[in-house]
Amino acid sequence: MYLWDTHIVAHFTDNHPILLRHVENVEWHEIALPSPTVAELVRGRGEFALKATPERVVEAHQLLWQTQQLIARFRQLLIDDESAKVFKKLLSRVQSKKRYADMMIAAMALAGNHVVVTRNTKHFTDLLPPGQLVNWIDTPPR
Amino acid sequence: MTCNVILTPQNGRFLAYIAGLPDCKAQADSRDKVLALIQARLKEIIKRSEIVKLRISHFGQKSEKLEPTEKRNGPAKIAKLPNLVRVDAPIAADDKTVHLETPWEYAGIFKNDPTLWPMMEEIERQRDRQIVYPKKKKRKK
Repeated sequence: MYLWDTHIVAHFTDNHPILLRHVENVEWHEIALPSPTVAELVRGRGEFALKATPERVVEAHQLLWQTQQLIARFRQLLIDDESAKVFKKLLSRVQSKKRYADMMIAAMALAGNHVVVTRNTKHFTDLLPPGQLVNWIDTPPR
Repeated sequence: MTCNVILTPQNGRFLAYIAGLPDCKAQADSRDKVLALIQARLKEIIKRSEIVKLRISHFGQKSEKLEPTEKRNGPAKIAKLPNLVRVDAPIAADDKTVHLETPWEYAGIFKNDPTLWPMMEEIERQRDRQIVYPKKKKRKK
């Protein structure tokens, strides 16, 4: 499956033309939101909703609700025991500084033989083999 | 997988059919029974069939704006109908989940939202703050 990093969802909601062409070329059941992506989206919208001024509180909570509806439309991939094992292994063998959430998503991809879709490929290059990493924003489909 | 079921009470009975699949229908004397029946019928159909996505529009053609088939015929119109319920029908076919409802209608939904990218920048900042260092190069406190 293609596991979407958080900003890929944002590009989808912003109608990114190259991303939409990639989406057209696969089936929806091949795309999934890994649980760290879901967590970040909900946290992002949630913080805005909880800190909103009276002038923006309605809009902020509507955006949170719409984001929840959007997430529900996607297939979601929960981190499982196998991914947790790989995650632990990655953490113990880290060679250069890494972002915690990137490692979590990479571990899910390695454990389930999935492909990570991200624009931040440099953060994943030494975590995943080249075949398990794609950039659907800057690289148009063939 | 979720799908939309049109549920209509009629002469003390309940009629149900799956939106988009008019041949998949059921009737019973209670709401719960008819939902169970329609769910079983849908499972039977999907077990012996395949769902093929027929692409009618072609992305990039100027004459036709990108509007995938799911978006055109999708649940946006259906969702306004009364007596609409959703039935969860977990189906395992070669480890694929069949989505009759897709996220297509959410493409571009936040296009005019000025908070989208500031929020994404904050998400990135938070990710940047949670760093794992190699054991020998632990950050000094």
